[in-house]
Amino acid sequence: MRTIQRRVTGLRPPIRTALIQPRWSRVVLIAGLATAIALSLAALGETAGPQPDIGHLHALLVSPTDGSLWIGTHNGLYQSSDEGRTWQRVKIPAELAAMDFMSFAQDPINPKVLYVGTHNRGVVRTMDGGETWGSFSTGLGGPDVHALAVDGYNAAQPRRLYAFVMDKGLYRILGDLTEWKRVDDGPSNPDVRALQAVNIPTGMGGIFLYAATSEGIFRGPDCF
Amino acid sequence: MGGLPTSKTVYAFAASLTNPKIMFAGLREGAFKSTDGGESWKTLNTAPKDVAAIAIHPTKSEVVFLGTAPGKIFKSTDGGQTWRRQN
Repeated sequence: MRTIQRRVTGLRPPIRTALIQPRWSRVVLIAGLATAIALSLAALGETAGPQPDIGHLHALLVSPTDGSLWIGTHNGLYQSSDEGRTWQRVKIPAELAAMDFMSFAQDPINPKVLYVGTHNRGVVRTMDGGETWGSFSTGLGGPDVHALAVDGYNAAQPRRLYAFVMDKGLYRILGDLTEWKRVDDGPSNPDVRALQAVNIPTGMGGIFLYAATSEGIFRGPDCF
Repeated sequence: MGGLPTSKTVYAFAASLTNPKIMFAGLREGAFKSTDGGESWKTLNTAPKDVAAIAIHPTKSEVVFLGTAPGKIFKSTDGGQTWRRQN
């Protein structure tokens, strides 16, 4: 255990320190659903006709090359070239077909390289924008990858790709991208739903990794 | 100013690549936005509920896409203030 910063939101308290799990700290603590009265948008916009049966949606990505959208769903991967109005199913080899496509991470240098975390097939990868796919799971502790993140902000260090594997913890793969290595348990709440490397300096030579969980958002330095 | 509810699951999270202190979080109760790296959050009152995924355009941080669990896609071109259903 070590002392790290724990930040409280909403009440504007001073930043304080607390002993909590190593590296990860909760970003948001304040409850208050009183302001969470969202207005229904059922009447907004127009529907665009029959759509594929996607089951339910888990992940969404905007491609930096052409602005196309990708979604990961219970029933497969889909791509849209008209900002989500219509969807085309992405063909995945049968041996990599997953029950759920849970998360995306796109290579910051070459956007044709896309990683997808799945519920039961680990990580799958395309290096040609989705034409062909292969498994990318060597070293992962399990098949249920709920969240992926890539850190390619620092040109002086190798790219880092992170995967949160349910019941196994946080894994990382570095520049040569050959084998995943376990980092730690991840945030104190292990029910991680999303992960992103955010280019906010930690003050220790790295940036923060943010994790959305079933108890709010946590963040920890990715410089370890 | 409200924050994120602590006892609720955050299903979606996205930070801007061009301005990393701009962040969005998605919950069953709706969508939230932070402009200070997660120090504080505001409810996006016109966003849909049941948010499952959020993506910010890589080069235009005011353009945000939001997906609900049942698969409806919404787009905002003003940083989350207003949303238009796409499908």
